[in-house]
Amino acid sequence: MKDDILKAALLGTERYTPDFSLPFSDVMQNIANSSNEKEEVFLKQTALFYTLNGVCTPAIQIEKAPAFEWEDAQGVRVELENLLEKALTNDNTLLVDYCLHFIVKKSLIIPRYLVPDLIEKYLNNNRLGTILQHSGKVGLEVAKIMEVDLAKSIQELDSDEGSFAEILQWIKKTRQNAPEKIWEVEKLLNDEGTAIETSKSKFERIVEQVKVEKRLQLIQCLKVGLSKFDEEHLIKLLKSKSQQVKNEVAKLLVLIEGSQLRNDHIALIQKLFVVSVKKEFLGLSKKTVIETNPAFSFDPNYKSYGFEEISSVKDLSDVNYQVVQCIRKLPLNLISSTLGVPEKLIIDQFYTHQKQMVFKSAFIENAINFGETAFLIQAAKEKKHLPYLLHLPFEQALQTFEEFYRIADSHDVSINLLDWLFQQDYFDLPTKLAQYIVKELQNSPYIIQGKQMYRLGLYFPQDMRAFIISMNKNTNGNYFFENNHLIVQAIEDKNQLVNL
Amino acid sequence: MTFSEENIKNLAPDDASIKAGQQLATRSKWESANQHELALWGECKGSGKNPYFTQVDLTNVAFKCSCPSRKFPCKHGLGLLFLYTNDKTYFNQQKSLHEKVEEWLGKRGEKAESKKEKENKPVDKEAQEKRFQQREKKVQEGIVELKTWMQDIIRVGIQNIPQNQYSFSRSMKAKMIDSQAPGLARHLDGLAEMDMYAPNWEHDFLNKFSKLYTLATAYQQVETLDESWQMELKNRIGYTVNKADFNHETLHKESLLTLHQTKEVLDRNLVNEKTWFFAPNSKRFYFVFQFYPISQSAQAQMFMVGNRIDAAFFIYPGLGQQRILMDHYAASQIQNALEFPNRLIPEYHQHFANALAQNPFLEEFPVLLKSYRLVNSNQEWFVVDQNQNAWKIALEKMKILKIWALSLEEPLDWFGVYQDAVFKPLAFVYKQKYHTL
Repeated sequence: MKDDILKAALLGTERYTPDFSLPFSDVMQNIANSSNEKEEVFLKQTALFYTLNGVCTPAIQIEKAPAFEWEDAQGVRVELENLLEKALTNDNTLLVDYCLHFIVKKSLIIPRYLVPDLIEKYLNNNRLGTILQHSGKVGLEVAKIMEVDLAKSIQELDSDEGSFAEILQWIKKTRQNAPEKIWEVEKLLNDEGTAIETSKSKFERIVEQVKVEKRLQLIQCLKVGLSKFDEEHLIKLLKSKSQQVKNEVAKLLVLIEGSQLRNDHIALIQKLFVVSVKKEFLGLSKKTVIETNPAFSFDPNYKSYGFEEISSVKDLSDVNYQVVQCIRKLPLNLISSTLGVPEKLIIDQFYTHQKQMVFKSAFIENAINFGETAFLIQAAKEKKHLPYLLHLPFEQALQTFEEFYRIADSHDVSINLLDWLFQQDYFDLPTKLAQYIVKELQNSPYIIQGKQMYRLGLYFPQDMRAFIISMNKNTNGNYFFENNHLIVQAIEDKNQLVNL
Repeated sequence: MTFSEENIKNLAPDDASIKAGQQLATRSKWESANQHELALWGECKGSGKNPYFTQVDLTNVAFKCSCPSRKFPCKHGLGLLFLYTNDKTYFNQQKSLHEKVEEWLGKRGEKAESKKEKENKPVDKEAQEKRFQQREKKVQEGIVELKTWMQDIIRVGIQNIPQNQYSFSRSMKAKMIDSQAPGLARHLDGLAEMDMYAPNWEHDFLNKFSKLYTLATAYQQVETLDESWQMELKNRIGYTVNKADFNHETLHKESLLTLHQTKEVLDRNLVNEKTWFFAPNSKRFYFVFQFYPISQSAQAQMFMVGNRIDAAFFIYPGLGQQRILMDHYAASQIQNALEFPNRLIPEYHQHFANALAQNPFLEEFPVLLKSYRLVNSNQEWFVVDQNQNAWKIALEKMKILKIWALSLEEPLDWFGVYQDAVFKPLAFVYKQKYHTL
């Protein structure tokens, strides 16, 4: 009958009129009898059909599925649940991010009824993997129902190996205790339960599974306990398609005493530079000078280590370009020991007295690559170029920024400190530094605006709340005073999780 | 009266007011905050020299504030209520009302009295009858035109309608408005607004189209029907019933639980608010319609979902009407929980069939379901009773997923509406907490 109605409606009653008659109730009899025109009869019968269909069709039967075993929700905390719900309701992405950071840090479980909203919010975001990791079976089920590309998202998580943080922890520990074990070939159990050797180590398998950014982090962990034993394994990684990965691996190889790559680089240094002693002041004093070898010719094999033959810098000769590349890629102590000169001489000649900027930036790159923090701090002081500080390790950066507030322009320091801060995971900024920032914001209120104020508050310790409120006496329409309630709000929001 | 964040948000005229109200819900913004069993009042620091004096009537929720905002309620009123919900200890308990508050509450009482007097004024029956006859003539003429137009459509078939979805009924809707049959015009709107690219659109269209035709035909016979039927059809055609039309002897008094509220913005920024109630004693459902301009809910009665009220109301005339006109109400002293009946789906079907036999124009059936599970089967969602009978669910996917993730197929209690063979959940209870959707 349903099909008949549909056919007549689509073709028109002129071309097809179904023959059906449903009984009307007594009450409707008057209406039913009002006309015999075929369109009228059709429409009234159709109305009756749909009325009956709505309530008189038998109920659908759903087969009872076996009960699913969900994990306990013990990891869920009420305070976190309330805060995360508030963040999602108000579409406060910064607070959602903060809650996620907190969940990961404390290995908590995301309250399950918030899982669908979070998955929807981060559907095309890198954090989806983290969310799924902390949502348990509910998260995976919701993702399945939402037709999330699990293969893509789960690339970032490996349920057998644990979270990425746990993997990093495992690598660090292994490298500290028995560094060679990291390359041990993995043994997997087959269906019969017997162990089969695979061709790769667990570390290599994980490195292949993750994206470039995380791959770099994993490789950097190998710096601990680095030895000749690592060479053959690192060479395999040198074949990576990613230039970033290649560079990172090359950095490690060059640090290994006796490695092929290190030896090749030593040979390059020997061919490229000539050290001579020149007499000065009528022969009364002598000066050691490093010069480039006029007979140097580029060996194309070095291209595989990322060296370029032709200079891409204006007004810089090809041979000098090789010097720049050496400074960028090789530790200064390797160059100095190969040439038998002190590091200071290299710095004096190619950094202090070299006018071309490309040499200076090569030294900065060298310092960043090989952790020459003292050089970076010195360069920042001399050149008054604070962005160098962004490359310092966490603890040292905190100390140095505080030191710079006493010796440099506080406006510049604040701008660079904020740049650095917003690149870090959430942590409590030392009160002193937080106070420096707030004082600077009073004078230059537009350094950060709008939501960034709230973001800053998420880095502030609890005692900053009272400090800011106590400042708000004579506001005079200053942008900072008008908007610092956002910082206070962030501190208050953070405070809700303080006891977890 | 019990307030929750959710129902305070429902009172707000817009999202910006909610946000602003929430920002004011901190102690530092209020110079004073006071509580009495009848009202709340406080002084909120504003941009002016003097703080704003904000008042909230707790018996029949209402707001008054000395701020110049045109929004109603303003952010200060909402802020005071948010503060009251989150931080009751900040409020000073007062045994007597502040002078200003007493005056305001007194005036509200007087206004209600004078409004009643106005409504009780005798009407000119002869003029009223004349107006009715003139309108009736127009309506009947309009119906003839509507039926001819509908017959023409069905004669040639509906397959080309999606191509002209927005224009095919426009002129006929205008004619229905000219014919003073706004109820029929609304049905035509419903046809134009439906999703004609959804699977099975033809059935949805035919369902609405054929029922509209039957309604029009029924109204042509209106004089031959009994009084209840006449009133039912008049309501559906769009005749309004004013408060003055009700016989004051029929004023109904009952305790009601406020179950759900929806607000829909209609043309020209007019808000259509529908509030569902359940009467625990008579086990009947009722609803109130209120219409008011957006950001001006001053004239509306403010109902708070989850609260029980002692209400005095008129039931609209017709067959098994659920629509009521609220005369007055006050917060009830009894605040017991809602009881859900233990019924299975086939029993509900029987109940609906009985109701339809009385009034075939009924479109929706409010129901309370006890211990029904939310189940996903082949990417479709159902509520399932203890015998595995199921109804399809009509609700946004994200909301369904949230309820599912919360309950994990554990049975829940539900309030919702059954319509066109699907269940539309409006609220559910999880761990003794009532959540509206």
